[in-house]
Amino acid sequence: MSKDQPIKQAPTPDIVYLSLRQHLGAPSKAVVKVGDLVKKGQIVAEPGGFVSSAVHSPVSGKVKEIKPHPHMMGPLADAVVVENDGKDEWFEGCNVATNWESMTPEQLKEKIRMSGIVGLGGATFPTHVKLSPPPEKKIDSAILNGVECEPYLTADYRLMIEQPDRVVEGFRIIMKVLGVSKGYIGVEANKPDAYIIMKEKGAKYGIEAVMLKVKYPQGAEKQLISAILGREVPSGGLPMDVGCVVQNVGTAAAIYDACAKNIPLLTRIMTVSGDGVSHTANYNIVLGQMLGPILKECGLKDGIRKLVFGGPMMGLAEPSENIPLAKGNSGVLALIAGVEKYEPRMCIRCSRCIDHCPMGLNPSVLSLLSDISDFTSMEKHHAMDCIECGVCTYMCPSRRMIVQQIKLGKQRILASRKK
Amino acid sequence: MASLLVSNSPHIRSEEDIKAIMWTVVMMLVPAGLMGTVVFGWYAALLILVSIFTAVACEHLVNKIRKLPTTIGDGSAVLAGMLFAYVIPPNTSIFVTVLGSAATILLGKQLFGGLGCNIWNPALVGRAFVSAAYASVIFLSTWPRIRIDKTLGGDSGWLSERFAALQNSLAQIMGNINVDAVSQASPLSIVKGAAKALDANATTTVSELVKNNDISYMNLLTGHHVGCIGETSAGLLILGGLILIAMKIVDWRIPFFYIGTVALLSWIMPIGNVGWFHGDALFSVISGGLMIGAFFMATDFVTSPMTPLGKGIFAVGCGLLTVLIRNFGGFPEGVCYSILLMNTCVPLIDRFCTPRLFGVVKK
Repeated sequence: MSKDQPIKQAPTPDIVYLSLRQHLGAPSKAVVKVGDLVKKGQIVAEPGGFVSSAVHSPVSGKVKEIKPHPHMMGPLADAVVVENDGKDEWFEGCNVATNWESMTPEQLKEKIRMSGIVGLGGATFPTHVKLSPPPEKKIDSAILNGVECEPYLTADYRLMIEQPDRVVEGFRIIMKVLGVSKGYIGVEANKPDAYIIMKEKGAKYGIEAVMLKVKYPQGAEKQLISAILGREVPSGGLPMDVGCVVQNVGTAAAIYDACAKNIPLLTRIMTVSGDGVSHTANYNIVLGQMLGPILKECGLKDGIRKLVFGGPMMGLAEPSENIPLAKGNSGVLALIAGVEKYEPRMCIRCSRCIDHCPMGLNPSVLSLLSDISDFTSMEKHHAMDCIECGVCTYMCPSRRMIVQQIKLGKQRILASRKK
Repeated sequence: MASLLVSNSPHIRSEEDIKAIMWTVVMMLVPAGLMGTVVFGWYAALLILVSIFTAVACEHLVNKIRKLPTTIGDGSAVLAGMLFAYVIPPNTSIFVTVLGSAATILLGKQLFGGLGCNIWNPALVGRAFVSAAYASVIFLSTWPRIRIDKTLGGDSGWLSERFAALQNSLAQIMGNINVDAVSQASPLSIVKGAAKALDANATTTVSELVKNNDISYMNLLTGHHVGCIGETSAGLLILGGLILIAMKIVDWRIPFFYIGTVALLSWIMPIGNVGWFHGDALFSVISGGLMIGAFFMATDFVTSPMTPLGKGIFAVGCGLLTVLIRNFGGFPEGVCYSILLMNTCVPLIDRFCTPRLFGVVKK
């Protein structure tokens, strides 16, 4: 189990592929040219709008090319390719300790924005946007998500037990930016050691660790808020509508590095697991590194059938292992067994999808409406409330592709709204 | 490296598919069928096998005609055939059994488009078909006697001595059998008849009628009484049903509320000349087809509501109709029609009982 594997430092690669689409929102805009010399921590692309993020070079070296390259979230996207010169020289002002407590919330937020930090749980929503709720929304609580968002993944758990101070300090910065005095860290009951460490480290800062029932999707934002505070985010609303903001523990650690050490987001922790590797592992890897060599180091088997970036329930299946690590990639699963193609049958109305839907939807009806392309009725049956956790498809004994059909419906509903 | 599969998430699936569910339910029904064989003789087992074979053959035939991949492996046809055999009397002719089983699959299921599309429980459609076409077959005034105890001879030529002995010893272990059992009416009709024959001013209770007619609760539980092949052994059906609930294959609400409603209303409602609040809840619950109906028929996914509230309403409706038919209707037993009638209401129930959407606070 990768749960018991300490975080290993992966060797720095000779070349990194820094995609400009590693987050939700507008792509980043490159600010370097081919041939430029860059140093470790230097910005290579700036945010391309408010909802966007910056990208930094994790190595020192030369910009080899800027061109479309395969990336995690789609076929091709522009990437800044940097050749590592092996000198490991820091950019000026980087890796210098500062006292974040003397900075104002606005300064901290700007620091976070320019450090390229996005939601590292996997959603990759730019963090500074989440930390900028409109003034009319009164935020009273901050929540740190220590619930691994999916089965198999253990990156957040290892971070909490190996580097708890980064997490707690980062959370304090989040609380300062939001101006709240009450913070909660949610940890699942099967990780009692992480719970105890978070409880001890957080106690003196008004941070309360909360032990949560082990279930999927406990780490989904709305479910987490409901479990910790007993508040339900209204249908169509955001966490700020019930006075809270949720951040992932990995994001908090990155915020600490940015604000206290002037290190932008250069690396992330990633789990390698599945029956297609001979040993599971947790790695600290520089962003932009090709994942093929890392998988080989874990004993990637020949017969693998599926390579999933992220978790088994919401992760993305990739056609190749030659894809660079992106900010939102919390794990890679190499799968052999259980990935056969299923033939969907007619719904037998067993109601397992309804019983397990965390959003209180009727996935069976949504799936049947999708069968007949009735997207208007899908909207009436609250398709837009779906969080796409995949539990319905997982449970379905008829092997129907329920969540896939709902995703399709959501796209069609959004398209018709734009008209 | 072999080429990689690219598909939309989720990438893992639960192991429980239609096949696993259907075959598990079949397994849970086997004990009641074995008990039926012990009590009614080997002919009952033959009927069960004939019914299953017919159902599977019809399913395969329709798949062929519709040019679809065959679905006989998923166990749903086996289950439907089995359930149909369980709700017909043990002396039904092979011809009627084949006809009824064919109606189960063809009229009850495939006519609507196959598994998942039918409105009514297929096995009960089969039974309703047979009772309309061959009323005398289903609504027996006297049932064949229980054939456990006699030294089996002439009338079951194909039965070997060894099995006959086994059957005898099993029967002796499992209950006190009246060794001289003769053809008689089913417990429900005996009691209903007795209640009607009572004096208008009588203060007799149903429990007294049960006692006066030598009906033993233990025999009702073990299945040593006349009735349909698989419905008589209330105890084994309860056991199978509880295992299915524990395995989370069926929801507890339907059997619980169905049986609960029947228990409560049987006690409250008058029957014949027995007045209000003189009923016998235990007797009403363990006799007739209630156990197979509540645990295996009403819980059929396809023909029952999908939300917890809907399931509750459906089950209470089944219970109410069962008691109304039993106590006031022309038939001694009402389980079959009560479930069929409530099946009809399922789309309406589903329309009004929707799950509670997350983030919508009740006012």
